[in-house]
Amino acid sequence: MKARRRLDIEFLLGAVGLAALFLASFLVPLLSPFDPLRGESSALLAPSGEHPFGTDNLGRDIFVRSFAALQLDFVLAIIAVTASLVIGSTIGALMGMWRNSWISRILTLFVDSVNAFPFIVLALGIVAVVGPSAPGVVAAIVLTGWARYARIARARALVVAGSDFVSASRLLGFGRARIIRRHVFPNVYAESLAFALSELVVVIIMIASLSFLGAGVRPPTAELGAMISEGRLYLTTAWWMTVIPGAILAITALCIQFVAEGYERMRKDV
Amino acid sequence: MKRLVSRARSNYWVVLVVRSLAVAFIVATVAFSILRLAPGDPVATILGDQATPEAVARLRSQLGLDGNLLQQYLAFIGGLFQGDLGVSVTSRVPVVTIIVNSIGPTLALIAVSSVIGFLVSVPLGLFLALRPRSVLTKSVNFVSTLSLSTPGFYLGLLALMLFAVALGIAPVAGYDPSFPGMLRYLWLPALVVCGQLIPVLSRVFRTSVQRTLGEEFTEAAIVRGIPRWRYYVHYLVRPSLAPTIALLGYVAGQLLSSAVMIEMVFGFPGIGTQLVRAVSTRDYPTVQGIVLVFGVFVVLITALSEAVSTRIDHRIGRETP
Repeated sequence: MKARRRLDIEFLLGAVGLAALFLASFLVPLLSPFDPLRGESSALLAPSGEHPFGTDNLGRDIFVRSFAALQLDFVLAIIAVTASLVIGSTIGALMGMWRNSWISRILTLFVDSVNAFPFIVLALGIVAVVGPSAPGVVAAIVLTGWARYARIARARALVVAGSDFVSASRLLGFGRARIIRRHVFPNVYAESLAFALSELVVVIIMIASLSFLGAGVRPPTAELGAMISEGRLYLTTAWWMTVIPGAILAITALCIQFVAEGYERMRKDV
Repeated sequence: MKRLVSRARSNYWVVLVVRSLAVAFIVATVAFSILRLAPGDPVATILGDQATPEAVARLRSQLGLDGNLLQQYLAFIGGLFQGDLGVSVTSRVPVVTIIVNSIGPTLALIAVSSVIGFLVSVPLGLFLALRPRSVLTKSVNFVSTLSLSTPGFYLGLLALMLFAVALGIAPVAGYDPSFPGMLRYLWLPALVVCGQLIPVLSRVFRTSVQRTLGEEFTEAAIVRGIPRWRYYVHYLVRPSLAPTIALLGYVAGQLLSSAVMIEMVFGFPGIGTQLVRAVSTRDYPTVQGIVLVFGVFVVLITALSEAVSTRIDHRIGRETP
């Protein structure tokens, strides 16, 4: 029985907005006459026709810089979420399949402990060691985030492992490897994917937060959190340096959140 | 039968305590291993190429990096039991002293935020659950999604621009450790923390009220003609609080994360500010100690919240966690 999926307005709004932002983040830096890294105009110009978002303290165009930054954030967030999803779900699924082995028990405790740390605190700790850079941020987020997927995948794998179709495959004499590959993984990944969508919001904000704290992508590279941090000194004189990159970050996060919540609702309706 | 139940119950507490201790122990191990994850030698990274062998050896022992991995680990765990988390590399102050000196403002911030968060979230969640189709519910949902996806540090900067710079009714930065004085510095950051806290808490609470509404005893209460306030407080709020409290461990993690960010925005002399300073100066022992304290704190809250929710709601706790 295939139920009709009702597309809800928020999902649609989020998806369209997200697609537009994603496209813009690649097109604007390509088409703009300005360079995101080099100052080519006077410093701290207010938004105008030539510079729709104004210029920063080094005379760089904030319009092109914001979208270049958004592009970097998109790319880093997608890499980080995909890596955590694959690593975490695989480990979690295997933990669920061998739930009675002592390795699985210890891993469960380990996963709980990693999850006990506030996300940004552990990520900051890892960045302190691996160094503030784009790969450092991705490493910190993956090393922290995989455990959330592992917990969800383990719970899901426990359910799947106890289900009739797995018992049936076992009765048919299929090996463990085949059961895991054909039955457990697909079911676990479907569940984790929904979670990954809502994690994308958390991760994109996390990347910006780490960079805002100076423990992420470093200037002069354009990154939204780093731009907000650069603008802090000019909060009273040049509000556009902070407010505009922040607004772009918030709108992006809102669109992803709409998509994630809408997707969750549609999954429940079916 | 009665004996069986009581045995299951005492078993439950033993499992809870043992599991929490095990998790706390592994939390310490994770904090320990962060420094050892480093690609290359952290000592060389701090001192550079031109360091003398004596300086390298001294720093190595300050970081607890002398001896093999097992010796380092045993020394670290041994230190923990004596309340010794090492000495800051940059300020030569014991890490424990740094933590003790900076944890007060952070705890105050968390306490004020939690109080505001609960006072708003409980009625709000109740309303959202009881009036799911009203226009107001839809707009509250929209605002909470909006607030949830606005990064805390950005919200904090906007709040600073509005309340401190434009209106001048809040201090731009700083802190006052005396009691009524601290509230002057706390209210704005606490409100910003609530921008993330209230959407989460009110949704969690709404979901548990919805679940309670589906139970037979709520209907039975209405049929019996229970007074209205009694119905709300005893039949809806109290049973719904338990699942919310059980999730506090998760909420505490989020709360601490946003507190770290907000502290930086408001120039708040808390533990989050110390952590960020330690990260940027590569003060590894301090980073390690603060990360450890945060982790253990959440483990503690998780265990406490599970215990409290079991006490409030007698429906749970019959099976081991």
